[in-house]
Amino acid sequence: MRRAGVVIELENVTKRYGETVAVDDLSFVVRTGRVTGLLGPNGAGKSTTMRMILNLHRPTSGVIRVDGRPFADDPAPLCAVGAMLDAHAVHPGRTARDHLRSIAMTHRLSPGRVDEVLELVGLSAVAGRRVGAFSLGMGQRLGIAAALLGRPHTLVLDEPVNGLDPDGVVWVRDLVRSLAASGTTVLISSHLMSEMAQTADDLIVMGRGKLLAAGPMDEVVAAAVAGSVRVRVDGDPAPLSAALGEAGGGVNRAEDGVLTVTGLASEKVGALALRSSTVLAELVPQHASLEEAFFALTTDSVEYSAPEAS
Amino acid sequence: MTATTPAPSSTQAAGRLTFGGIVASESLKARSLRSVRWLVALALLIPIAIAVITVLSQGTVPARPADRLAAVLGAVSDTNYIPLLLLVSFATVVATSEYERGAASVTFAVVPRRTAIVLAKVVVAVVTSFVVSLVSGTVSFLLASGILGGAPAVTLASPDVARVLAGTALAQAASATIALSVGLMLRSSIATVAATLGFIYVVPALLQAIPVQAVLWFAGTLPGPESTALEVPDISSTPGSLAWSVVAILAWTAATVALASVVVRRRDV
Repeated sequence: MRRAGVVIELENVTKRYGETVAVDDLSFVVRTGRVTGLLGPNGAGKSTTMRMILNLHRPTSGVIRVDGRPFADDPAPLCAVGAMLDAHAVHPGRTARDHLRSIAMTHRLSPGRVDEVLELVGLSAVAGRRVGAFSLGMGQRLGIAAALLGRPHTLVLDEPVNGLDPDGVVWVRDLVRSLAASGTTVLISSHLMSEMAQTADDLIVMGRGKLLAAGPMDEVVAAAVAGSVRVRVDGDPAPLSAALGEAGGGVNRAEDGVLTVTGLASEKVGALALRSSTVLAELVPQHASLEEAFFALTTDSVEYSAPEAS
Repeated sequence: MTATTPAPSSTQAAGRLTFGGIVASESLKARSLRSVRWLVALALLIPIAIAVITVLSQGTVPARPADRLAAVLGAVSDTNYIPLLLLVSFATVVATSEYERGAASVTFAVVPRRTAIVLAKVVVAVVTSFVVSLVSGTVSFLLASGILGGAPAVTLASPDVARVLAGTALAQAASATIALSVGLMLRSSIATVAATLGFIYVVPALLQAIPVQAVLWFAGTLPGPESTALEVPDISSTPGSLAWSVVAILAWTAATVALASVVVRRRDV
């Protein structure tokens, strides 16, 4: 049943809570050794999807496999998938060390391993403090420590940088990168596109519970928004504009001889300029950003949106 | 707190999920809460204090050995409801602390086969409350009989003593386990204590008010009435009905644990 190169696999997964469809016929794979970003606006079903992967919520229909089997069948779940779904899901009256030790004990991991992950996330000094007194960032670090305890081959992180200060954001980003470099598979959700652009190899874009796009980051971005070429003409832009139109490009004319060309590569635009004897002052290929792709993909599936300002 | 690379470590963390490990984990989770430590300590010490005070305030030492035995056992077991309340509260906290701030989502992501968690909590609740009740009862008895004095002295070998102490421990462990099961189902401490005490004290009384033979019989099987047979010094019933009490209490306790397991397993977190 296990597919080569695939760690997590969803097949036609649907989750209903009463009337609400949280996840709608969702299928995707998370590939081994890659950082996969699960991206979508609030309410897209990202957290529900992650909870279903970890067997915390059961799908209404569909199949989810981790390492080719249901997650619950894993003999050592902590060593397969390390998860941080909600950093505050810790009893406030317990110390950080006791919290981690209680998790480690289920899998008979040594107390030394607890001290290691405390060191790794920089919480050694406060390990004996009650979690209730922790700041948001410390809680996040504790959540990541718990996820790393069993040296899992896969990490599932739900909005790990949410509420972190810039230092913390950089720390999480570096940590994820170094883990990925050492072969750990990472599934990471975020509604922050800039974060995804810096960490993810693959993208899964969700909106209103549905899959909007999936694949390597550049392919998803390219497919969602075509790139454009910005041209500034020294002189009359009309001949070039006509030539571009004939070649099948979309041309948007602004003032000062600036043209935004879509559907044609910059080389082609340059060649057409030469043929139409137009002098170019600028020729700049514009790459579509993840942000543009995200908006292009999710404009119809934002659950809560403000009315257009007039 | 700067960027850290996960370094290869000295200790090897090759682990597997084991039931023993889960019990150890649940035991640590219970011990690491201050409320649990207080409740268990009070359940251990308060009955001893009550027994000592009761015997000390006894005016004259009864002359007949049987009366002395009754006085000591009464001092030990007349206020059983106090440790019962404390142990019910203890088991309630063991269950509902899992749902404090959604902590269960961490627990069940680490142990996705949730029945193991329920059973590990049962082991912690049963062992703790049985041992606490037995130790507290035995110490109370020894102190009370020592203070009361008289010859021949009242000892643990005196008639009914072992049965009362062990029976009380069993009944209290059963009540704690029922509270644990209810707590896993209701997830709220106040609702759990109310429902458990209602089940132990109120439901049998209500049912016994219905003058139908079958209902009365059923009411008699409930853990509340049955535990009386285990806890009181003089029972008019035969040894056969004592065994029946034990069976009835164990069956009700097992039934609530089974129900809680199903609810916990089927629930979305």
